[in-house]
Amino acid sequence: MTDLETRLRALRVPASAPGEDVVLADVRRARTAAGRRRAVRLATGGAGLLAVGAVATTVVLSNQPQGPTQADIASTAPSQSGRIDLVDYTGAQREGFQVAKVPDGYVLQGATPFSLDVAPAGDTSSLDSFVGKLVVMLQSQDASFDKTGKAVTVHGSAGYLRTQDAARILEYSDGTHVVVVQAWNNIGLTDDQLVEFANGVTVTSAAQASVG
Amino acid sequence: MSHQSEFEVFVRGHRGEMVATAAALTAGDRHLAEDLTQSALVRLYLAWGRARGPHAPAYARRVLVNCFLDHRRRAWVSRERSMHSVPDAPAVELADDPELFAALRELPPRMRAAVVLRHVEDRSVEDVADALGCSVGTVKSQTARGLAKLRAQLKDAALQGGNHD
Repeated sequence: MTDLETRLRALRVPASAPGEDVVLADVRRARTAAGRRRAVRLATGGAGLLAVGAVATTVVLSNQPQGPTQADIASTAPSQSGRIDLVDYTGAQREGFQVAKVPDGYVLQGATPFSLDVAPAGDTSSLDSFVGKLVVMLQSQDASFDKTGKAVTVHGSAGYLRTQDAARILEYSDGTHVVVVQAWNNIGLTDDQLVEFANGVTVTSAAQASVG
Repeated sequence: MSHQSEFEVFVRGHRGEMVATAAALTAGDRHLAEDLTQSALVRLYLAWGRARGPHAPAYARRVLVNCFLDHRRRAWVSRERSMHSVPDAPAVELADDPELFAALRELPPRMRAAVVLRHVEDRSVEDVADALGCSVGTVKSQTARGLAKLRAQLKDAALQGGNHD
């Protein structure tokens, strides 16, 4: 066995028995999910196997830490139609992330050192919700640059564009940071427009990568 | 024994093992390991009619690996995980080899899962293929390429001042 294989084997830690409270919490979560599935099945009645399949998917997604609901996905099919224009942004910039363009009718809803939310004017949803928005952030400190998807050029370097659930994600390096731009599909930006938006993003020293 | 009692017994007997596997899959991310284990147990319960019995541990392993791969594919829906520092760590034990965890983090998800199940968990090639839903040949090529990448990563780290290898 090589030294590397020995080190890998040493990563395995002995499994420790869970406490009673942990076991009960797992069972409670599982029962709640099963109850929710039963309730939705009853509500949808004889809608057929297709509906049951969709419900099962919804229940599973609802128990994942960050999964969108099936309704979110269904209502936001990917669009390449370019239904919206990008316009020059002339308003006040936020610390952390600055933009040169925004989709027409969108504003900088708010920002933290970790992300910038670009949302339709009048959107009063929490800054913590990214549904229906264009969001700029740095890749998490715990994750690596994901070079999968359609290759594009952003800031003169390689970027990668892919669809994940109800959003498209553009990941690129600006030479200093790995930047992630996520656009909810219902905004209607084309791939080229998403790249154009990213080319107008400037990450300042106030931006921070999240952890986890 | 009722459906729920059986599941409870399974959780008591196998949760620790699932958390340990998740900790290796996530390359040492305690919080994500706990999240993935909880999600996998929910999915397992929803499929308990099929999963119960002697093959339940293998079924749970498949579900856990899928949760890990799904997590890596998912879009950010909210900023739940964006925070300046990690909150109180859940009770997930970790081996003390940050350099190797960092190298594991650089592997693509499926390759990382293959390496972890084969070389951290010491599963057979057939078991790994079952967990990943791929062929034995794919497992062999993924693990070989994964080990080569890890060696290259660790060599780079050593050249930059690491002290392993």
